[in-house]
Amino acid sequence: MRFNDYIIIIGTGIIVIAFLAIIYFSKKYTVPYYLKYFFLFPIIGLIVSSNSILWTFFHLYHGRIFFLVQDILNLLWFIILFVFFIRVLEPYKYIKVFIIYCYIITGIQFVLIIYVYFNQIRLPVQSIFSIIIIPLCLVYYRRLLKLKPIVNLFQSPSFWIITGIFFYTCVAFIVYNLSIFLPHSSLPNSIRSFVYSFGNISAIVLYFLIIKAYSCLKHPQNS
Amino acid sequence: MLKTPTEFLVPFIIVSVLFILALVVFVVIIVYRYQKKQHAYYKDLETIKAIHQNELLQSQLEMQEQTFQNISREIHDNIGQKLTLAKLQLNTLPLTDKVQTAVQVSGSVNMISEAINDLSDISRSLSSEIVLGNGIIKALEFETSQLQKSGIYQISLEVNGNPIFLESNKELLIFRIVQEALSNVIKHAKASIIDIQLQYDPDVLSLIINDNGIGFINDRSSTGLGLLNMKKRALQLFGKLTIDSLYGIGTKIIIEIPLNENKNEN
Repeated sequence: MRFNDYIIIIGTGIIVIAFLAIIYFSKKYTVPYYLKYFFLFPIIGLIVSSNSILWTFFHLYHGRIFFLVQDILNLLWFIILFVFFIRVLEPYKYIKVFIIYCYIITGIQFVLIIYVYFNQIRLPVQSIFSIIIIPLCLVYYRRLLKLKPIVNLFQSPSFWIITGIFFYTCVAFIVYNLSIFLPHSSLPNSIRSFVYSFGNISAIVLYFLIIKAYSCLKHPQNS
Repeated sequence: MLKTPTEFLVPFIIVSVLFILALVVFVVIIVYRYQKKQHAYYKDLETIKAIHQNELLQSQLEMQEQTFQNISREIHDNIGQKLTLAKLQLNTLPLTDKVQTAVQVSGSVNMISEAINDLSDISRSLSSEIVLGNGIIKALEFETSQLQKSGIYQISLEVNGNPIFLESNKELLIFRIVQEALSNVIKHAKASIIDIQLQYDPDVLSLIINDNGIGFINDRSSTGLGLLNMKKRALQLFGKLTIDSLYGIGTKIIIEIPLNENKNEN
C-alpha cells in the first residue's frame, strides 16, 4: 500500500467521525442557520472517499468513470460550500452578484466535467472552484476584521469551518494543478500518489476543523 | 526538467511545508489582529460605560440640587406664607371678643392644615420613592392628579402598548424629565390643556407631552437650562428628545427611549 492509500483510509474514518459528530451536536444544540445544509458536506465527502477506495483497492471500474464520479461529487461539494458562504456572508452588499457568479461557475464546471469525460483529458476542473472559494474566505476574514469584534473567535463555528475550507482549497488548488503534468512526467506512481496525498491530508484537517466548529455549538453566539 | 524522484520530492516537500506555514501564519495574523481589535473594543466599551455612569451620577447630583431648590422655594413662597399668616392671626387674637377669636383660630387651623397638606404633597412629589416603588405610570398619575387639583389645567394621561418595568434609576430619570417639562409648562406656557402620552413599543418607549400654550421659537438661543437638562437626561438613557413648538399654538415634546440598551450599543 502507498502512503496515499493509508491517507484515504484514515481520511474516510475521520469523515465518518465528523459526520457522527455533526449529527450528535446538531441534535443536542441549536444549529446556526448557515449550517442548516452543512451535514450534506461529510456525506458527499464519504461518497468521494468510497469512490476512491473502490477504484484504488478493488479496481471496480475504469479510471474515466472514477474521475467523472469524483468531479461530479466535487461539484456537489462546492455547491454546498457556496450555499454555506452565501449564508455566512449575509448581509454582504455584493451577495446577489456572488449568487449569479456561483450559477455561472457551476454551469461552466458542469460543461467542463462532461468535456473532460468525453475527450479523455485531465483538466484541473477543481481549481476553478478554488479560485472562487479562496477569495470568499478572504472576504470573510476581511469582514471579520471590519465588523464590531463582539464574537469569541475560538467559539465561532463559521471561523473554524472557513479556516478549514481556506486551508483545504489553497492546498487542493496546488495539488489539482500539479495533476495536469504529473501523469505525463517520468515520476514513478508512488511519488505522484505522495503529491495527491497532500490534498487528502488537507481534507482531513478540514474535517477536524469541522468537528471543532460543531463542538463550538455548546457555546452559542451570533456568528 | 526534473528526472529523479529525489530531485522532485525535496523541493516539493520544502515548498509545500513553506506554503502550509504561510497559510498558518496568515490565519494566526488574522486571529491576532481580531483579538487586538476586540481587546481595544472592550476597553472602549468600559470607558464609555464609566463615562456614562459618571454622567448619571452627575445628573443625580443635579437633580438633588434642583430638588433642594424646589423645596426651598415651596417652603418660602407657599408654606412659609401660610404659617406666617397663621402665626399673625394667632398673635393678634382679640381675647375679649370670643366670636372673633374663634373665627381667627379656625382660620389659623385651616391655614396650618393647608400647610401640612402642601408639605405632604411636596414631599410626595419630590420623593423618588413613589417612582422607585410603584413605577413611572403610578408616579405620572399622581403628578397629573396634583396638577388637576389646581383647577388651572385640564390634564390627561394616556398609556398605550404593553407597559414594562424599566430599571428604577431609568424610570426616575424619565419621571424627572416629565417633571421638568411640566414645570416649564406651568412657568412659561400659559397653557390650559396638557396631554401626556406614554407609548410602549417593542423597542422604544415614547413619551409625548403636548400643551396648548403660547409656544416658543425653537432655536439655539431660546434653549434654556431646563430644556438642556431634559435633553441631557434623554441622552443618558440612550434616547433622544425632540421639541416641536409653534409660537402661539403650543408645544410638543417627544422623548424616545430605547427599551433594549444592548441593541442600541451594538
